[in-house]
Amino acid sequence: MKDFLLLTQWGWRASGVLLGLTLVFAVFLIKPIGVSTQYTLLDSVIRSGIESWLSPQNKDLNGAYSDQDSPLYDRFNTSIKKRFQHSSYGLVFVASMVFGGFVASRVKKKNSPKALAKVGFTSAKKVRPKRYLFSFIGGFLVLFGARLAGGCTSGHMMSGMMQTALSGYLFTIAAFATAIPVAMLIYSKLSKIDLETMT
Amino acid sequence: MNLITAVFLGTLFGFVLQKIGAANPRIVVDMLLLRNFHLMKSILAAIAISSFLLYLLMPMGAIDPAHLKIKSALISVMIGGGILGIGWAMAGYCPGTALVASGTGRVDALVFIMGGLLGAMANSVVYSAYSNSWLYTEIGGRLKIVDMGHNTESFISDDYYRLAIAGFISAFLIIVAFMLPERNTEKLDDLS
Repeated sequence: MKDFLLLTQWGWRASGVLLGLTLVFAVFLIKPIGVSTQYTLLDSVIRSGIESWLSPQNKDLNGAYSDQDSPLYDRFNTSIKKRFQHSSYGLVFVASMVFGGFVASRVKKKNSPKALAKVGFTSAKKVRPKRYLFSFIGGFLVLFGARLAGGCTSGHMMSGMMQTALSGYLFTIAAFATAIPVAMLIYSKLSKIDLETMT
Repeated sequence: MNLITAVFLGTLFGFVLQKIGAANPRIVVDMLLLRNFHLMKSILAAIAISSFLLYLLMPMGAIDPAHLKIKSALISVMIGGGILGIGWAMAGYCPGTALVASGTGRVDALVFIMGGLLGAMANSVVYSAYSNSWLYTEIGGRLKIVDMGHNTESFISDDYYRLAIAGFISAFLIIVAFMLPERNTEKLDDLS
């Protein structure tokens, strides 16, 4: 058990079982896992933070949320207070995901050069400007698309297909239909060094 | 109580995503280049296992059907999915895995998150323009292939049938997962 947790990367069978159990466990405890909505919620929290910083007299959180003229908050106009109560679960959830990644990257064998060479967790620092540019534009497109679709890889692909939802299958087909050709287009022209910057 | 659940589930999900390699953009891109199928096998297996367990536990009353959330199948799902796919290929991250990777100290993941926050904001700005448009045309609504049996009394008749179909889908996904090669060595040689 301990050795298993210390592995840098699990085999696909163990990966499938544990990810699958996590997905079911989430439904058992509360609801299916979904991430992309939290970006919109985080936007609104950041904005309300900036607003209360700019005009300290208007520190009332509900006030910051009830800016009905702003198109940004179209989705939050209905029962704003309730929205915020709902969003706290999601925000804590995504913050915990960051923590989970941190723990998982630290919990590993000190000397596993083989695994490191194979998977390549080493070079987080050796990132080049092109990689940043791709990450930023990619992030923009991913979240724009996810919000348009009403979910992302976790909400539509994993949780959706788990419930055999038509929307999950459609989303998955559409995502791979563009991702595979775009990846082939971009990375076939890149040198080995460019790919190295990703690992 | 909900917040304790959020901490627990978030940490677990983040830990698992990191350990299966989903938060490593190189593994994602190698999957999209059809060179390394580790992640695809893992996710197919995960969906199969979770789906089967869900349809098994629900009729037994172990999972509250009210916890389920089926999203509508709209045209926007496919167009949004297509746009997401482009960014996914460019960055190698999706919304969740970028968060996990940022926890491991990856700067490119933080850059992705910043781009993502801007993208989500841009979507909110144009939301009112498309929310009543053809993009929200339903193609099947909240249809699911296997309907959930909420009535525990009907477990013997209908629920076995539902479980059988869900099990069939799960079995299909598992078979695909086993049949996919772990690595397409022919294509991997191009680079290594």
